[in-house]
Amino acid sequence: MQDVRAPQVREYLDRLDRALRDLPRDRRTEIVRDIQAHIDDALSEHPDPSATTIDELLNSVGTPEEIAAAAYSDMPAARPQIATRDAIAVGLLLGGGFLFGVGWFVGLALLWSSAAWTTRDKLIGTLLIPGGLAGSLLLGGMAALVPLRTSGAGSSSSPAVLGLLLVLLAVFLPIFTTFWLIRHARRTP
Amino acid sequence: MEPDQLLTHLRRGTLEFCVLATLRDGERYAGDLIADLGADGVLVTSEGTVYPMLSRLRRDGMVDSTWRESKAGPPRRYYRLTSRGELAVRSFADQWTLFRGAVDRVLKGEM
Repeated sequence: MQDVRAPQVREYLDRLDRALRDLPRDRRTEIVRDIQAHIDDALSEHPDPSATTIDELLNSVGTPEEIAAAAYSDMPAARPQIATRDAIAVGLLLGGGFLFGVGWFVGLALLWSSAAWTTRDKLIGTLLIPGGLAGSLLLGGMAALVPLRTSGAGSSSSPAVLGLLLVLLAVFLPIFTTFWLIRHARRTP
Repeated sequence: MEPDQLLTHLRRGTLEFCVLATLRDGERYAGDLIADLGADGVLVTSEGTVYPMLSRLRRDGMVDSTWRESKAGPPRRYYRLTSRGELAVRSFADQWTLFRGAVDRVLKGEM
């Protein structure tokens, strides 16, 4: 079929395909195919269409840009992005403690100087947990040692269970904070 | 606001239900229903813009479609309402009557 289409039609369909390039592939293919069928169908009524006939027909179909605008207006709006600087702050607060211990403080400075978070969010970012994952591993390690010392005689397993829970909590908290900060950051579109 | 711009605003939120309403009496192919909708240029200015809408209505489960050979020319894609689409048209028709009545009353100053 492709080769029998008039050059104007082929050019039109190419333009349409390009105008739709930001759509998901299946939607793009579908719309191009539908428009192609629409044009083929309309032209089938004219056995030997003149260039003017084809132009008039393409005109009534609308410009590729018009059709693309209609397709994009149906898409859900793109999610606003978290600023790079804020993303770095969140990353450093989580893992910066492993960077010679100073990474976390850089993250902290970025956090408090950013306009993306409220004071409440900044307090959460600071206190849960100081040092981020590195801090929680340190804390967890200490918590794990305590029951070993106290339960030396193997009197009860509950301190060990408690220690394990503390370790899990200590690891969970910085991760929770990361999600919290990402979720609550004021975004720029 | 320019008349064109105003119409664009009014179409948003109404045109998709008009598209669904054209399918109430059974399945049709797009060219056929576009001819109905676009006859006066109020609802549809460019025929092609109806296709992205049909594509979304299909993905939203409001219509189904099948490609079928046609006697005269190339294959055509036929659309029909799903039960969900039918429900949507009916509910829109009810709301529209209320909406139109309210606007008309205000415009005529019968408050």
